[in-house]
Amino acid sequence: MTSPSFSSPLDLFDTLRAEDETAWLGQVFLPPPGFDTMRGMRSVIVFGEEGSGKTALRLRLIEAAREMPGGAAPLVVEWQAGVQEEAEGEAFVKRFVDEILDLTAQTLASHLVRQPERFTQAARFAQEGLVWLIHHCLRTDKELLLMRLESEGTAEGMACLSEILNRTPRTLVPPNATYPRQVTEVVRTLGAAGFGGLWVMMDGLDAWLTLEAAALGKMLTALFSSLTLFDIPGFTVKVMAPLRMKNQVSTATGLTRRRFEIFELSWPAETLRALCERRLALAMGREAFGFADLSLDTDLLPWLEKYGGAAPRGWLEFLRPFLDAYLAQPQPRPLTPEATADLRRRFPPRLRMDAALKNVFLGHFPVQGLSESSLSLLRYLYTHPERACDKEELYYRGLRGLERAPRVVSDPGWEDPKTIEGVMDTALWRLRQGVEPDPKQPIYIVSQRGKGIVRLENTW
Amino acid sequence: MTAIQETQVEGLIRLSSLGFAFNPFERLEASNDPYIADCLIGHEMFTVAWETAPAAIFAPAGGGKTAMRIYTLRACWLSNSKRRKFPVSYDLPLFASPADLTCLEAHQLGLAAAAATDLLLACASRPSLYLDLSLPRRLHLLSLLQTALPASLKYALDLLAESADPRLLSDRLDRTYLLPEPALPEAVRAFCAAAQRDLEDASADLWENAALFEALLAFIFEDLSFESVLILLDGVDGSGFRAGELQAQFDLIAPLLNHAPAWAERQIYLKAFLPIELDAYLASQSPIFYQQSLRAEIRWDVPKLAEILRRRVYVASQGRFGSLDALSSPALRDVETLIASRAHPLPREAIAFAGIVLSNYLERGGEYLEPEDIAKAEEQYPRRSVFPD
Repeated sequence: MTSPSFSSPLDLFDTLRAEDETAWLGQVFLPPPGFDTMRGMRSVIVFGEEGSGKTALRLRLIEAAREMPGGAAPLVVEWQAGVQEEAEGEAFVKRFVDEILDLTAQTLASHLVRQPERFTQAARFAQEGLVWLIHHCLRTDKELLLMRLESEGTAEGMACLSEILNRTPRTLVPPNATYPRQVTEVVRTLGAAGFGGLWVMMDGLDAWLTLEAAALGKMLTALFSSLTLFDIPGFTVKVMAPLRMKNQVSTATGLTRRRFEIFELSWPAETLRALCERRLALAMGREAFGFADLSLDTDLLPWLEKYGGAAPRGWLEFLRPFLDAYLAQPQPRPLTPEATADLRRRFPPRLRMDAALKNVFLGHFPVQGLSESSLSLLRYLYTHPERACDKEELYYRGLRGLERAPRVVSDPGWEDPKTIEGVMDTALWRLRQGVEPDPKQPIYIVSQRGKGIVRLENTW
Repeated sequence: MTAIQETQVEGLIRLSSLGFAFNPFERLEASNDPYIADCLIGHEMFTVAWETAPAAIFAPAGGGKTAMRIYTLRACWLSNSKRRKFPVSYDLPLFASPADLTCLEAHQLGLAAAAATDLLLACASRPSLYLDLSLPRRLHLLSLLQTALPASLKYALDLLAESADPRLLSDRLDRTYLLPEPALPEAVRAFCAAAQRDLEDASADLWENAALFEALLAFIFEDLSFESVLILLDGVDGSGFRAGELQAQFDLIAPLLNHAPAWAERQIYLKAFLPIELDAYLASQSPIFYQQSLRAEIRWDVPKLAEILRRRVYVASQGRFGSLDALSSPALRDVETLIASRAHPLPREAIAFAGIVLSNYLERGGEYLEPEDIAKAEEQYPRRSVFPD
């Protein structure tokens, strides 16, 4: 493995955002199941949870596109989602195509200023086609484009692009041609110039899903229903979509009629383990660095598997404190089982409830089998501004669901404090049995002895 | 992009070591399958498409409508019958925006574009069609093409002259219009040279939509001596937006259905390849067309689907073997039937399922295709499918 430049091994476990890891991501990437199909010429939608590695996959697919044998690499454009007004049905698809054509012209221009021979050595009709493509598809100001590309290209490349922009293009398709015909002509023109088609990469939808879920769903359903677009050979769309979106776009005819290959990004535990070990090895500058080199604790892997979930980010996040501790030692050696267990306790997976306050997670692990009483207690604590209250408040408001806790015997709902004490002890015992890794040493539902306060800790 | 490049792009070099020139199960859509012409198999419903009468041929999505249309248009060009039929391939989304198709005249513009495309592609593949014409008739044809073609005729001829390959032209204009046994490159170049030379003298006339289509029809009948014209209508639900909206789909094609009887009297036969959902709707909304036309439904059973899969294996292996059995362990026999019986009973679904099986086999890297590859595909198939309710 080559050593890329980073200041500390921990840098490889820092942001855990593929966008920040492009310099070395290729060295630690492992293909998910179905990767060969994903990198093929069919359009693909890969659904995945946040942190499941969608962006890493996108970046790897772009690299894979460049590695096509025989110089048949497709031209790759990256489309950024943005919710627009009047963005439904065919209107949105037309806008999408318009944006794709512009991006194609810009990307092609950027390519030509670096590799002008693609144009200068092309057949005459291919040259004519490229001139047409740039003139027909470019929506951006030509002079601005030239200025922007000046730093990217060679002098020969800039001259080539200037010449293209100054030429009078032929009309290859009528101005009122249907958009499938325009895209077909663009793809064929790229093919004539030696490109292996046109790939459109779509990513970053998670952010929009939070803000504009319904609008985004409508837009993408319209787009994925545009069968004629996806029937154009050489026009390929690779979408990295949040898993939550799957139901929203499932009525799109492009999905029901298989214009897209559908994948759910899931990682087997052995692949996640290998992926972590690769990153550890790169961080340590070693050929190989296994879990056994990091810790002698045989419970570490099962712990990661349980709480890290089926996504790389979960595993990598949880791994960081262990690497931190490993590096802090005067002499690097595997952490002892005791030290590892202590770290697991000090850096436990955080407890969170979903937006509907119905499901409880420890890290990525969904806690199952909690009774309604336990859920009520947890819900009250989780939504409490301080995530802490005394047992009486928790009893009356959390368990009994009263608006406020009675203070004196005459208040409605008042109960004997001794009874409350007994009921709460049992209820908290049950809750801890359901949530705590070690109910005898609770780390989430913590009682402050002598004060009667119950506190929720290690939460998001 | 050439077929060889596509194979490279697929990155399945292992496929070639197994004897495949390309992935036989990669393309699920007849309209964008470069090998579709070789992969077609016969179907008893073809007789309905071939009859000299208007016809409605129904099938569900993925049920082989486009394949049947392509089979029919190739049959027109293969037939030795003296009663020659000229196929006009009218794939709606390719020739018009659905929103514009509100009346017969709008369709006639689309039909003119389709007929002009098909005439040019026919001349490119059968240069004698053009070269045997007198100069005035050539100029007339070029004038019609210049007006009706949804692309630049001059550029199309330049492209054809440079490549001498009609498939490149077809790829741009209508990739389903592939004539069997295209002419040799010298003949193609001779056509291009003549047409490029003639084009300098051809005028670009202004035509009304209806007149333009009529002029093209007249040329087909009178100058090229075809006895009938088949209008092969497809892509009614092709935009995808109107999937399930029967009224919208019907409105789109109603002008054509209404005009079908009048066309039939002039040996112009509408062959409508329609989604099955429209069947009952058409019976109630367009009873005249329904009564005066032939009706067929493309249905598939396991043996027929297995035949499709075997045909694709045969074509992709360039005749080396005709079944995946050749790659399978002794524990597997008649793999195509096993696959066909596990997928939804439609060609697209059987091909998709077979694609997953093959991909599992390749990813596993074993010597033979094993029962586990099919069992795993059975688990994956529902996850990689979204079926409408």
